[in-house]
Amino acid sequence: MYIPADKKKSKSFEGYTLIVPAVSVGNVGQLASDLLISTMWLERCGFIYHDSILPLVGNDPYAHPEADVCKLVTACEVYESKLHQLVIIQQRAPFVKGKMSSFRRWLTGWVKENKFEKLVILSSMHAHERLDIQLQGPQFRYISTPDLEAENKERFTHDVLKWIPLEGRPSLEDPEGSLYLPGGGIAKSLFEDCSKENIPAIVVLVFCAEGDNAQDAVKLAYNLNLWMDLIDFKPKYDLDGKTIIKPASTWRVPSSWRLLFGTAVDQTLFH
Amino acid sequence: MATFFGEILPVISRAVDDDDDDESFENLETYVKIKWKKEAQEEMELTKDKKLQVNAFVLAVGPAATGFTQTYVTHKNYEIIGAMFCGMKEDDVNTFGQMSPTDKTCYIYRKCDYPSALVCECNYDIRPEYAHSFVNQLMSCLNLCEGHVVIFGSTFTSEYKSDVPTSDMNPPFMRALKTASFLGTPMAPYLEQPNVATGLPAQMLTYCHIHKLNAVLYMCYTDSIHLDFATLKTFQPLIESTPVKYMREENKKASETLKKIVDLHTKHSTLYM
Repeated sequence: MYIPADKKKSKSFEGYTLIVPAVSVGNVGQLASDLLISTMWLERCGFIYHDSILPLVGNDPYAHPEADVCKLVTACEVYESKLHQLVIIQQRAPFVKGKMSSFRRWLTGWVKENKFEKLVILSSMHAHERLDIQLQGPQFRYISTPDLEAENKERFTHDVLKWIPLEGRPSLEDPEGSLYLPGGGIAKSLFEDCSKENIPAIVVLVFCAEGDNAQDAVKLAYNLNLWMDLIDFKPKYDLDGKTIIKPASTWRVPSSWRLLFGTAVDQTLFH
Repeated sequence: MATFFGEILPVISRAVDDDDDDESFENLETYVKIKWKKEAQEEMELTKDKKLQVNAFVLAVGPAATGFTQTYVTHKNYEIIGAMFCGMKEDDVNTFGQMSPTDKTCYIYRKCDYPSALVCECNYDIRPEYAHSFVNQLMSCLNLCEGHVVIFGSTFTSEYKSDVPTSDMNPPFMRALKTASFLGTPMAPYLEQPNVATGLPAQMLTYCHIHKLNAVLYMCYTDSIHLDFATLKTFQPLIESTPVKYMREENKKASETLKKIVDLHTKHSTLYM
C-alpha cells in the first residue's frame, strides 16, 4: 500500500518514469538507487507499507555524518523528482519468504493506476553464471520490452551508450535462449509480469560477485545516467528557466554506506 | 562456483535466495490472534470507530523490556484486558504467567485509575514475518491519534556497528529513534547510521511514522546472552520519559522484583555450575 508523506500533495505520477531496485546479488540495485537519490537530493514523497517486506527502521541514510537529528527511514520508501518526471523506490529490507508475488501484483497494479510511462528495474546477476562471451568486455547488460526497445533502439546502440542486450540462455526446450537471471531477485518475474500487462519496462544489470559492491553500483548508475540524463555534471536551468541547478561534482555516497565490514576490530588483538 | 583450487562450492548470497518459491508457506494473517476481555470488547463496541481510546501506550518487547515494565509500571494497579498469541507451538511449555523463561505470552494491561493508558508486554521475540500482522491487528483496536507511543526493545552489541571496537563500547547502552510527529527529544542518543532496528519494534515505529503518531523507540544494546541487572538498569532512567511518567507505579520492592526476574532467566543456565 502506498502512503503519501503529505496527503494534501498527493497526485498521480502520470507520464513519470519509475525506477525500482531488485534485491539482487551484492545489493547492487539498492546501492544504485541510493546513489541516485543521494546525488539528486531527492525528496521522499511517500512510503510503501506492504506485508511482503520485512520491518526495518533507522536514521536518515542520506544525512550529513555530523548531523544530530532523527529523520526516520522505513523499509520501503518512494522518492520523487518533478524536474526529471521521476520516481525512485528504495527497498531496504528483504522480502518475507513466499510473499514476493504479492508484492509484484501490487506493484504492477500501482504502476498502471498511476499511469507511469515506463518502469526501470535495477538489478544484478551472479558473475559466476556468465557465459563465455560475457567474461570479457563491458559487464553491463539490459533487457527491455519490445515497445521500449523500438523507441530507444538508436540511443542504445549509439556510440555513447553501446548497450549490449543480455544474452539468452539456450536450453533443450528453448535452443534460441530464454531470459535467465540468476541472483537477480524480483527482476525477472517483474519484467515478465510487465510484458504480460503491456507496461513498458527495462531491466538494467551488471554481473557481480558479492563483497564491496559500491563500484558495481556506480557502474550501474553511471550507465543508467548516460541514457536517462538524470544527473548533470554541468550546470543547467530549473523548470522555471531562471534558477541554475548546480552541477553535481561526483556521485554523493550516502552516510549509511559506512562500516560496510562491520565494527572496527580491537587492535590489541594483534599485539 | 569453482574456487581457485577447483573445489566446487555452493554460492550463498547475502541478498537473494533463488530458491525463493512463490508459494506462501503459511498464512501469516491467521497466525497472529488477538483476544480481548469481554469488558474491553463491549467498550470498543460503544465507541464510534470501534476502537479503544488510548492516550499512552507502551510496547515492551523481549525479556529485558518486559522485566522493566513489570517492575516499574504494571506490578500493581493494572489489569489484563487482552492477550495476543503468535507463533506458539503445541510442544511449548507455557505457564501463561510470564513467570517461566519458556513462557511465550503477550498481554495487554490497562491502568485501573487511568483507563486510557495501556501497556503491551511481549516477553519473547515475535518473528519479523509476523510483525506486520501483529501490529495491524493490535492497532486496528486502538485509537491513538492524540496519544503517545513508546516502544522498548533490546538487542545485542554484536548487531551494533561503530568506529569503536566492541570491547570499548561499555554495554549495555541505550539508543533511540522517533517519528516525525514526536517533537520532543528522546532520553537517549539517536541511533547512528548505518545501524537499523528490525522486527516487531521496527514495525510498530513504522506504523506510527506513516500514520503520523507520536512515537519513540528505545533500543537497549547489551552484551549478555541472559538477562542481567545491568541491562535492566539501563532502562531505569526511562521511567521519566513521556508517557511512562504518567503511567508508572511506585515499587518499593523494585530491587526484589528485579532480582526475581533476573533469577528466572538465569537459574536455568547450567553454563557456570
